Amino acid sequence: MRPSTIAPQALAHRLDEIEAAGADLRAMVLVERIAAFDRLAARWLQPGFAPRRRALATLPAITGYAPETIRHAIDRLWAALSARELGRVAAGELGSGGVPERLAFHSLAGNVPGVGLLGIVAALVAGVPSLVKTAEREPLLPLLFAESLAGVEPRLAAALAVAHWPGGSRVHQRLAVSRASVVLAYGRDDSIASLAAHAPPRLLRFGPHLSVAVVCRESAGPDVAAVAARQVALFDQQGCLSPQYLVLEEGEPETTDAFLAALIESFRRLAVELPQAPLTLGEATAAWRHLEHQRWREQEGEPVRVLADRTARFSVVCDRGETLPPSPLNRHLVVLSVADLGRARARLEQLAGTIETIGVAAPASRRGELAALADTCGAHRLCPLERMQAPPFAWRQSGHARLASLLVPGSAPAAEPPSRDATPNPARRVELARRAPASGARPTPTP
Amino acid sequence: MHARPSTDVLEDAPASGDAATGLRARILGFIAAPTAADFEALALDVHRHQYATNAPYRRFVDRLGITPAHWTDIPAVPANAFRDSVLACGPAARVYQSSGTTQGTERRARHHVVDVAVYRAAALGGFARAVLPAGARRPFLSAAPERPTHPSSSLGEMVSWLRAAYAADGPPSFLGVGGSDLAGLAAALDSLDGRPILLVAVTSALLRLGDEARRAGRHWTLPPRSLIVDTGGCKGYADDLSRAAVLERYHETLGVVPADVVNEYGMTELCSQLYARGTEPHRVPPWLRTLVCDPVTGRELPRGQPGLLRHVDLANVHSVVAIQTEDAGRAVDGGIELLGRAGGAPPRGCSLLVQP
Repeated sequence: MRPSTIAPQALAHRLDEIEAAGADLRAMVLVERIAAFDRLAARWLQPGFAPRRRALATLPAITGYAPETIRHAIDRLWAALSARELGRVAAGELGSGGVPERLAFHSLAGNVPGVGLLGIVAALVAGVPSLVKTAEREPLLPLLFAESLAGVEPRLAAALAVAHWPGGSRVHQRLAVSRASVVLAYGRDDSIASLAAHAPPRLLRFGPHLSVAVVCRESAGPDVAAVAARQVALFDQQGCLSPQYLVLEEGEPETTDAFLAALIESFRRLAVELPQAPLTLGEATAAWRHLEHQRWREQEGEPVRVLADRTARFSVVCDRGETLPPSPLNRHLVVLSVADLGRARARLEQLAGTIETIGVAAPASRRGELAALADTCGAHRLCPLERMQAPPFAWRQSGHARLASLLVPGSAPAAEPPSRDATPNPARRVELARRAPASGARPTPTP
Repeated sequence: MHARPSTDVLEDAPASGDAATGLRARILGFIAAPTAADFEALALDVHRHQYATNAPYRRFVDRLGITPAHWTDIPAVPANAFRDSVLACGPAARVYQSSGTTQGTERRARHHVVDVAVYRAAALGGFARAVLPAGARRPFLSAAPERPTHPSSSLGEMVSWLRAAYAADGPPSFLGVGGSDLAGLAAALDSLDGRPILLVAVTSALLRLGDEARRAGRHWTLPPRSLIVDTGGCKGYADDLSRAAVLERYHETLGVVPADVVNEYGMTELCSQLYARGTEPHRVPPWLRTLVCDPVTGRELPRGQPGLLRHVDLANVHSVVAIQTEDAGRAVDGGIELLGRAGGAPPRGCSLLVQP
């Protein structure tokens, strides 16, 4: 699917339209907006819903991901958009009022379906009309989202424009940035820099990140290995929520060996259940280089162990040294084997500022240690291992508060009581704690 | 393209032992008078010699559990292993080092060459077959590393041998430790006397010469039958140009047609070279064979399909005979079409690729 490019004049016209629709959007009370998304989510979760069926039928070919991976992406996205979830976050982040930004420009990137959709929903919930520039590699889901929204709540749909133009087009970028009061920029550093060059009033950067799994020795069983492998295989490690490293706290040698063996066996099963996207020659070469380098280290007596099949399609590299071997992505997991979490801290410190999520498998008694570990590396999210690829709406993606970052800075007086249209707020922390005692979202400052 | 490196010179140290000496003589004989029937037997004998005397190579082969019955089965060591281990069958006469610009000096590849005479025979023999017959003498211009300024560069060693073998006269290289002396090269081109020259240069130097000449409204027409031999690809130049675009630039700057331009492909880890004239594919000398392989399966790919180059080089008699590179290419009629480095790829999603 090759999306058509919008002409600059047409883009200007669409910007006029959504900005004008902003008045109606802000006239809706918060619960109305939230209820609309709740209805939309319910529709998307129904197997027969036409946009869902179209997404499931088309996105595998567009993105290369397995149909089961696409189903996961859609289900996780809409499961996160219930009225209850949106209400909790709204109460927490909009509860003290605040003025919504005038217009948001969302510049999407990459081929992981739905990456920017939580931000689009957040903008509309916060009352911010939005222009969305779709990604070259996944232009479909935002379009289906916009079309389906029109069928649920025209006032929300009228405040949303989805358009496409070639990445880096200065004419389009300049126009979009000049009209926006806030820009949500996804993608690689050079893409974000090209937007920053137009000097937007506010720029929220959603640059590339990686995620880390942590398995404490009490939890290092084959079931947990299977869960970890699935988090790796979903999206072939192309997403910022994909674990590239797994910190394994060593127990008895045979337990560690069994865990590693279970990991590789799980990858073998997942190669059938979630077939890998085709690799380019460059990607295949990077994987080959990684494996050969680690095998050479193992052969020459370094504290590394390589588990893989004869091909370079997936692997587990277990490193017991002090190094931090990079993963080439595409189902090549690097296991950092450590005597205790204190040792893990020293190694993960090298990744500080790059970690999006830490997913943990651990007993509740280890919660404090894990929180300290997450603090050390500046991770934006701490969650149960099995939830790594299913972020809640509350996820502070790239460190940005989901809704509060879409308010005009300084417009939300902290001392004011919650606004009347906010739904009751059971709090995000409670919701996560219910899932697993060893997890909790950690608020980070909004840049 | 040239991922080539460089080092410091140790004493010349020919291989010791009767078997090694015999093998060396057979390979030198093959380079001097190749016959196709000898290649396979020699390749397997070199493999056995290396298995016996090169400990990291032996561990590598043992790990794979392969006993090759055919030259294409010889386990190919990843080129990157030259960064991690000393892969040599004896004390080195030279240790050539790669430039290592992207990963720091500690990650440079190091090729420990035990017998420089074999490298010299392969380098000069290959050049004579592909570029200019032995015995020819020409004015010699160079904008490439040479041994006096780049003692650890395998390319520098080779260019110095070429100068000794082919130069009727000519100034020292215009590529020094501090970079290219383009003004000096331009002055040398100004003073040519009509005899056909041999110009050996890194591609980036000639492209920069062209840029400066264009700005100054200048160009040259090299004497008829002159030859340009370039290497290194666009590494070090601002733009990554296609080969056709490079040849067009050369034509604009120096008045040469593609048939008068020969591209050299070599590696620090390799004692032999491939050459391509104009837009033709790169060709191997008889003592080097190149396969195009699938990085996933390791198997040779059908003709025309892009993959990674694997070289089996008899001149690497005392290091590693088969090397798996990350250079992309495809087998075509008449040789190998080079496609650049297959190195890596940016993530397709929002994942961060950690740099080593």
